[in-house]
Amino acid sequence: MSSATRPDEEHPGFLAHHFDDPAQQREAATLGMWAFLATEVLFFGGLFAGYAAYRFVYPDAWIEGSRHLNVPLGTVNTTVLLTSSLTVVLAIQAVQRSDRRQLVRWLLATIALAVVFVAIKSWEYSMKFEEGLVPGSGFQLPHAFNSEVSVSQVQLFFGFYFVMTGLHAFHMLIGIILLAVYARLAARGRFNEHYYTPIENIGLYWHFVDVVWVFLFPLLYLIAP
Amino acid sequence: MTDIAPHDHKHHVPSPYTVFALLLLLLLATVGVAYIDLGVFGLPVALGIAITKAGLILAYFMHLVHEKSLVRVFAFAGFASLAILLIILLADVNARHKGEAALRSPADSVCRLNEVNDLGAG
Repeated sequence: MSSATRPDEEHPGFLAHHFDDPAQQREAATLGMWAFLATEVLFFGGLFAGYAAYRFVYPDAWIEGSRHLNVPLGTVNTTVLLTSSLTVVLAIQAVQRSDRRQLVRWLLATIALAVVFVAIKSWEYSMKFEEGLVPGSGFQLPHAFNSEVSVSQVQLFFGFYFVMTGLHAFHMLIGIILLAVYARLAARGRFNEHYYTPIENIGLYWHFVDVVWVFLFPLLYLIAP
Repeated sequence: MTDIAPHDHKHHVPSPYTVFALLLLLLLATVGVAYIDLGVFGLPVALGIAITKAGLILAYFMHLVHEKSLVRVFAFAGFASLAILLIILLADVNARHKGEAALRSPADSVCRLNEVNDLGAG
């Protein structure tokens, strides 16, 4: 068993002792990540299911609530997030050629775009707060596009809006922290074309967060603009 | 040995920029279509575009087309479970009456039956 303590060609340093070879280690990491993402699909899925049920029974309130959301800002945010998925892919392409500089740059670019997204989201939240559209005792419609709509039903829509986008933003914050950690490790030369599994996995996580937003945007902002 | 994904060199690999351009076009479609009144087709079209976008991200950015089948099974499992949740829930909601009473519990109907029984009790 002495070869387990000495890194050599057959047992490179990044290979954990319980795996036979790097390919098996990488496959285990990939499957594990996808299993986690499957649970995340159900996590957000429950919220989407609740949204769907109430959209079905309160269609007018859902239309009313949606019309109070800012479509231009939502479109900008969607573009920002799609671009950040591109930068993650470019980061992975960089590490596949052991280009440390580009890897770090593209990871930092992803973080920058993510911060822009969260900043715009925060700005949207602050505007909702000022308008009185945050669910609670102070909830009110600043003006109604449809005067016959039920205000309490619109409040329910905004409950879904804040919980779904809030949970999404929380996932983005976690992603930003992880991207920053990996950017630091990358700058120190931890990854190269032989080993970059953590970069792949944070990429999977990031693309998942993007996919959730791809559904959130039309379902919340574009019901009937 | 290298710790990288198995590559299928037979398949043409689209550039990430191509996929990104497609995603932006689909985003344009998403917003554009929203302002056209498609009536009852509005939601299916919006969801169809969103699913196409998600499919592109899953297939190319998340490399599902290049991975082993087992990875695709894991990915599919999550969405299959969600589909079951949505189908059964929406079938249930759809089978009830619309409006305020739509999400009331069946226990409400049972209470009314008990009221009727009281008439014969004394």
